[in-house]
Amino acid sequence: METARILIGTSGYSFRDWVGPFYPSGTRAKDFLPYYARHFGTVEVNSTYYGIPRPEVLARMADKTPEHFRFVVKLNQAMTHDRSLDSNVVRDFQAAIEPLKRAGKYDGLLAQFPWAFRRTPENRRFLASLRDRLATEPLFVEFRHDSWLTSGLEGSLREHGMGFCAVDEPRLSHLMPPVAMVTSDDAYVRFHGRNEAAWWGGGAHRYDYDYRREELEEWVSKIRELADRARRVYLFFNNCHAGQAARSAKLMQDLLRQHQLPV
Amino acid sequence: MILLVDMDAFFASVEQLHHPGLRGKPLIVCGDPQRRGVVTAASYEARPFGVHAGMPLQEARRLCPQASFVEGNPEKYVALSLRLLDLYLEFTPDVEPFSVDEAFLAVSGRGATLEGAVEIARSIQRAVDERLGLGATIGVGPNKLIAKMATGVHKPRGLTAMSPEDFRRWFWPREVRELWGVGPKLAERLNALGIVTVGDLARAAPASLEGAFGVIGPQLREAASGHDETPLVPYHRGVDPKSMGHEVTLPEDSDEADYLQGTLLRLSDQVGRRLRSEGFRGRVVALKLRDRDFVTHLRQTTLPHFTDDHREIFQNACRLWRTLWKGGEVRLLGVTVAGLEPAEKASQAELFTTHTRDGLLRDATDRVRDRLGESSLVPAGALTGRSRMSHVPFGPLTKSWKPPAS
Repeated sequence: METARILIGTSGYSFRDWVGPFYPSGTRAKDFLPYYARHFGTVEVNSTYYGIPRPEVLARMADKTPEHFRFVVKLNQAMTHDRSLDSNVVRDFQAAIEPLKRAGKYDGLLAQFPWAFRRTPENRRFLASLRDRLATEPLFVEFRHDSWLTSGLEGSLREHGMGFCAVDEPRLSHLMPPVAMVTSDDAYVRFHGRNEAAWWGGGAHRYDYDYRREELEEWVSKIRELADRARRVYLFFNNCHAGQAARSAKLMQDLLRQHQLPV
Repeated sequence: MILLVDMDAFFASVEQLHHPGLRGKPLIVCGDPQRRGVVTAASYEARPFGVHAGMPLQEARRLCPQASFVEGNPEKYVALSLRLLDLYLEFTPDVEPFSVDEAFLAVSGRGATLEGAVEIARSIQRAVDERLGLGATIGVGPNKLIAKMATGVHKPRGLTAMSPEDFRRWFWPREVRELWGVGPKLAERLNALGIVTVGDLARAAPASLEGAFGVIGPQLREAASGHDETPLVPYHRGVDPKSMGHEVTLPEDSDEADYLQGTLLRLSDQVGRRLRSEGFRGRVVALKLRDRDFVTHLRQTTLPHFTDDHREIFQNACRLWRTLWKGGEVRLLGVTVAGLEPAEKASQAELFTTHTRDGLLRDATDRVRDRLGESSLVPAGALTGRSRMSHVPFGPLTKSWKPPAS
């Protein structure tokens, strides 16, 4: 099997409340990933955002997946939310992802910045230094605040070799709209759901959303365009409640196949 | 609903966080512990001994000799304060910083009811504790006044929600000085009119209040009834700000020209730095001066071009000050730059870096400060009366500062 041009997966896979909706009942946590990998060709590792694991953790994940399975790893919150480029943090993080590289299953890093990270000179400097510190890594950047969406964004990201992470999220004031662009070899889209009512307020339901088919259809032409221009297109679903992300990802797979896109 | 998040014994708690050996013990944050001065902050463990902020250090030493005396580190507090604001922005886009350790938040959606807002407040307290290891007290109410006053009801780690009815039930029987905005002197004057409780004030005749206190009379009465329509001004709303300024109430009224000018320089420097870090330039410089009789004077000047340079801001602030100041005692000074425009509109800066040649030096200075803290570099004039400059928020001098060699 060759690597597909469009890779679809979810943001994280290890959720207890997916047992039933996605994992067959009785599936134990250690068996989640092998099961997941039978349905999807890629995963966005999100646990690294909360804590930097020991290298063995990602080594085990690499072992549990087939040869062509791909990983993208989310940067730790110390880097994106506390804006720390402490050399210990960067070193530990790089050590953690090393086993994925050795296994030949590593496709890059995702830097997801919070809404508070606006386009200011200070934050632009931070972004440049983050790029410097991770100079050899494929790096995708997700902005939540729409101040970043200027006419110069596309060219600057390209110049710095950073991939733009497009988003589907509620159309709330000053949140990033669903703009897609290709600024590095690969294109990247994250689907956060459209739960407007729960987006703010810090409750557990921000990502509680079940996409309807016609909502995903809005993306088909954009994804076709991305696929024409990029080497690979990653689509990750982050609407993680009760297996909804896996359901949406499946729905997207069907949809793109129907449109004869190379999934 | 409005939330006021008030960090519990913020400075002292931050020090305890950084010095685990001092946790759970009386701790007093002050200026240089070797010198005379006052208590900047006291941990909750020190408070039962009667120690409180503003008390002379000698007295604090006598009351609580076993306390640890730690020199305050403003950069540390400011850095944490900014992290807290980022954390609040995960819950709502509408956050208004009120002081280094307090912020107003407006919450909508499920936060539109008192019960929903309480749930959000609880999540914020949990996040502050889990991620930063600090305690916060939160007041919840339909307006800023009630939210602010509700924080005082139960501390530390308190969570008090009040409807206007709750507010009246709780505060009306209490002394009028408990009302937000009523200081000891105002309380005395109210008492002299027979207004002893908050409820007395709410029921007082508007005309007599206006006669005695002028325009603020009826406002006080409204406040006593729990009414407040002050809007929350989100600092982070995404739309460009119209002005940026800093102001400071002097620790004591002063008529010393050097001291006042030194304060203006520090304020100008802070405004310039904030403009640069947020990426704006402005062409209106405004000066605010409040005299000892609480009369506020404002004057502004328009420049021929846009600036974010502290020297230019300072020169113009000084010019205004010379026309405004008649030699009397000054209570408050403020410097604001308005008429803002995104800096890149003029310079067409690229995405991540700015390379304008005249800005290089300032950029370098800002970078040093980002790394080493506010006190690492300050304009020389601000050293006047160095030991007394600590009233300017966001970056007083500390003893780690050394004069430049040249």
